[in-house]
Amino acid sequence: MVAVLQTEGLTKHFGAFKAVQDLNLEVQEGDLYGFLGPNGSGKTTTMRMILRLIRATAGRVRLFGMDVESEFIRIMKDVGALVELPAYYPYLSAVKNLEILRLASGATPASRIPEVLETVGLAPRMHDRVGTYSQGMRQRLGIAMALLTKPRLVFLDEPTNGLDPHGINHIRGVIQELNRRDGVTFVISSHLLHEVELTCNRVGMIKQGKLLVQDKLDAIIARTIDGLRIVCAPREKALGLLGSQPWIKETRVEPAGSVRVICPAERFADVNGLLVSNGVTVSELTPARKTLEEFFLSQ
Amino acid sequence: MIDRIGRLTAAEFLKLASQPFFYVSLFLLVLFIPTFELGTAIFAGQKETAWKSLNSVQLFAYGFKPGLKIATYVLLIFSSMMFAGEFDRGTIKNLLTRPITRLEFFIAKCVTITGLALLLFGFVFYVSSVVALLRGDVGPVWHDSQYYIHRDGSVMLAFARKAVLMSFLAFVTAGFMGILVSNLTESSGYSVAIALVAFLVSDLATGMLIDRAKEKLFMYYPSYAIDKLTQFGEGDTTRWAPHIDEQMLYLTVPSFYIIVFIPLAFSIFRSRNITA
Repeated sequence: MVAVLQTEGLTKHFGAFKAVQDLNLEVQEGDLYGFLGPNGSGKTTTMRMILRLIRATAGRVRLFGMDVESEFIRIMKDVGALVELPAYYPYLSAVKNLEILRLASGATPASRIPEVLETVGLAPRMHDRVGTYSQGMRQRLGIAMALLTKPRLVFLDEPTNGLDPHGINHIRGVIQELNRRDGVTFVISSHLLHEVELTCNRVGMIKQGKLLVQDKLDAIIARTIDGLRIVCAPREKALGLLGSQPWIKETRVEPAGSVRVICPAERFADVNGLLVSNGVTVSELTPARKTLEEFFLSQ
Repeated sequence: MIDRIGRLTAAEFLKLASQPFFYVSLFLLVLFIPTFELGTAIFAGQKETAWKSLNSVQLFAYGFKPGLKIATYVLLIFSSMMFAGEFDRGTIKNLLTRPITRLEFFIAKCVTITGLALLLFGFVFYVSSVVALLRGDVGPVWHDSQYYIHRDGSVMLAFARKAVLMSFLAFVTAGFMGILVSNLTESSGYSVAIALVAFLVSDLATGMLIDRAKEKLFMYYPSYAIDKLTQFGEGDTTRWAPHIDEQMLYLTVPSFYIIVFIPLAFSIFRSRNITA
């Protein structure tokens, strides 16, 4: 696998405030990389540093194996970006807005403009002034701007902002289709864990400017398994038995009536043995996991 | 690099040509230049000069001076929005994440402003000339009482040509002043306000300063050149100040300002973090 994005010790200080600290990101070719973090955690600042919109206090950025400082023009031919809110000329149509970016980008044919507007679902209004667009339509235009040059690597900062559920579903489909069909790598920053879980295959989590975890989504999900969900009878007896074990961190009854047990994965068999040997009938026993949100907050 | 600057300049002109204010400005020039040109001739009345009738050079000067003043403010408005407007809307981040350098982007903006200055200057010149030629005459001016040719037509035209050329570089410099101001703030409203106030104050100052001090301000030269042309057109005996003529201050002073404005504006732009 080739790393299309690598940051080494990327750091940004705004005066005394440390916005991003020693960040080492790695995105492989073909990844749908979810860059997760709460508001103000440094996601957008990181994207801006990667795209050289702001200067890093320290660290290096490599895109497609090349240094972004010395090979910027070569690199940016293959990069598309939507950073924070979509920006546009309100007195121009979507077509004219994209024409300006096409001229700035170079070798993109004019025929690409209606094509990309069709992709994001803006074709019916493409000749209308952008000032008359809804927030969702402006967001779609921002995504069209990022996809205009058929880039190999696309940065999308909160791409589903302002979109309705149908729009979110559509854009998610576009991202996954481009990734599957053309091998486009996406770096999607978001504070919506559920959205990232549905779209991405690799995740980096950032909090207060520091990278907490970076791994495949499957591996992170595996790390979120923290216990069992048990349907058993009699329940009170089971609760008493489980509550007396020192290796069980917590037991509680869930609204649906099942018992939620928090314990290490290597003791799952012991839980079953303990209940069965003491005459508790276990009708269902499944691994239970934290939501990604709970996992994130626990870090 | 030249190819990229060319494409960026084309994009800039596409934006410029799509702004309604651009056409409003041209309309205002078409409206005001003939009004001033004919109005001044009608209401100011014929001075006690050797002129027998209104001549084209005189009329041209009446229209060209206010026309150029309006065009200067238009140029200042556009140039002071050049960078601040991109920051204001956030479109700067769209452009700077394309395969271009900040230097290329900056040069394209400067080329666009120079192009716009040429266009506005040419437009003011054209409208002033058309009205002057329709209403007045070009040719030798006859002294009515003493029966001799007071001034030859070619002398008049040469004087007018020089006055126009003298005012051009200072006019362009106003555009570069706008570009500098545009890099000082991220708000296009503030930027336009700062540029207009700065220019207005400096322009007013030229009326209060002594000649040697005025001559150090670039905005002095269009007024100086066209005032001289007006006097000449009205029949006064006037001539260019020898030291301005010999030292070509109308070129060197604006050039000095341009040499200061451009690197300063670029150094601010280059070092700026794009947080728009």
